[in-house]
Amino acid sequence: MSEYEAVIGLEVHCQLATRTKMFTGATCDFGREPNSQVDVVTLGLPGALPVVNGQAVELAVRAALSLNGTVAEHSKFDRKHYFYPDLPKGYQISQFDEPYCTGGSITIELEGGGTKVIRLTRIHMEEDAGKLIHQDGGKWSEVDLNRAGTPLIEIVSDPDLRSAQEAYAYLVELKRSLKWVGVSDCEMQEGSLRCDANVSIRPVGQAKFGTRCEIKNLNSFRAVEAAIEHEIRQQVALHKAGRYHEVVQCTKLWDPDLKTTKVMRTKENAADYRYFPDPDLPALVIPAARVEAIRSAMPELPQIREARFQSQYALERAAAKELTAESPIADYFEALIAAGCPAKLAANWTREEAIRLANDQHKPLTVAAPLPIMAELILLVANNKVARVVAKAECSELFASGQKPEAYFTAKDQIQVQDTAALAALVAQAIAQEAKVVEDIRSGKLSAAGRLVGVSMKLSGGKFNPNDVKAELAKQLGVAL
Amino acid sequence: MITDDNVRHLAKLASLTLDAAAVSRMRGELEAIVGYVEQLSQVDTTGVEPLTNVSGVVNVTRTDVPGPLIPTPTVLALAPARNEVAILVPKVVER
Repeated sequence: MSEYEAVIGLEVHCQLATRTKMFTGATCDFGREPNSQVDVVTLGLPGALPVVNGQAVELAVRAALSLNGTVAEHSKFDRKHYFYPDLPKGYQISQFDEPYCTGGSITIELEGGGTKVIRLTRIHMEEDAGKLIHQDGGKWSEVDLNRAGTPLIEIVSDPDLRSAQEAYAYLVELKRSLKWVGVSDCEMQEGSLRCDANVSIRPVGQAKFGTRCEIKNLNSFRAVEAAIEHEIRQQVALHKAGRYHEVVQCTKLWDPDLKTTKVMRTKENAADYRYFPDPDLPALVIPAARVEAIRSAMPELPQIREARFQSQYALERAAAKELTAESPIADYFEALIAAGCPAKLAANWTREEAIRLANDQHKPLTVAAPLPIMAELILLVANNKVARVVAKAECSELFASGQKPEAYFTAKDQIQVQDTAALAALVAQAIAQEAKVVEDIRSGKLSAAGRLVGVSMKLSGGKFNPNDVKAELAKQLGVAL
Repeated sequence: MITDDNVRHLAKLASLTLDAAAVSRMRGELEAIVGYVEQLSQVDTTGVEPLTNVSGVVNVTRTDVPGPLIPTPTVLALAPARNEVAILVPKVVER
């Protein structure tokens, strides 16, 4: 592979989170009975006229801004013609030569460290098609028009990606942005995010692009990664064997079970779609002032919040990234800080416990780990009233109990005490019990002290602060720990 | 100038099957239509901005509020073939 490089561009379709369709008031909920969300416009009945969903435009602009795109003041809708039963009217309404957004970028993190900017070519609005279910062995296909007309944006990247891993990172970052600003739920399983990949290879140093293949039916980020890997391997093998002419421009389908692709069709050229401006739809004008109004109503973007978390709370990059994976996580973390929790502890407890509880229970963070309880728990740890290990061990049970942390730990007799005499007695007991460890420490193996701290903590039922225990140990043994 | 190949290509895009006689007849008819429209190019459009919509109206939008649906049985009744839940079409390969 080292003599070759891959050139990859992605086309991502994203369903906008509206109640109704792009050009009509039929609902577009996922998972309803087939053909139950259909109206005259969906069916393309004579005389039915499309009218743009204003909320879809609003969400599309939000998406554009979250991806650093430039919103065009003037754009229009075009008809894209093809014969296929997934759209009854014989064409899809899309945007051809005047998309509502041009440019934009997504910054990805590279595996070896560092970042790379992937440029976007454009984003346009369009309507989704219906769903066809092919009966095995039968002579019929079933048509379900519920999805036909659902609002979509298509995000087209420049061919800036150079590996399957970069494509994966791009999708993760894209999804983070779109979910963050409430444009879409981005559920790949439900089809609200779909991805096609254009893949070609070329010898390193060659400026000209190779022949590209488009891969469809990529139903997870891992499938995108695997399909691109597969396609690159195949094209490189043909090039090495002197059979590169066998790579022809075509569309392939990914088979996730067999982990292979099959050719679906050779590329129809663009003119075959016979695009022309849809006379039913007046032009769309989005004045700069409206764009700015939408921008100012958007939340702080994840990339900016991630950088702020690093600088304001001195968090590591990985921590800041995890805490800004989704906006509810970032909000949760900052709510803990607002409640007086130290940043480092708030970050750790959010990442290690709150997210785990939420995932285990399939519930929102604030339900699985209510903020007042988490804040009180963190403050008990921060103020040395409950040992960290004890708090961690009891965390799930504490939240399941619904009790207030102080009451919970008091009832369990786990509140740390400041009783010097009791501490001294306890440490003496540990020393007496662990003669061998004491010998090790005395002979200079100071790392063995951890064992003694552990034994003491266990004897105390977690009631003493580990640092106090350590200090007392050092005192009684006459060594510096 | 419309060629027989143009006609056959258009027929394919329109899912029409034309025999040789029809291709020849269509070529003549299309020539006439395109020739008629061609008259427009005689108009002097210097200084006239291109238009994609003649209404002059922009931004006709609606609020995101559900409207009336057609009951599923009515939808299915419009189709030439159906089962209990879906419109049926002759099995097609994936587009």
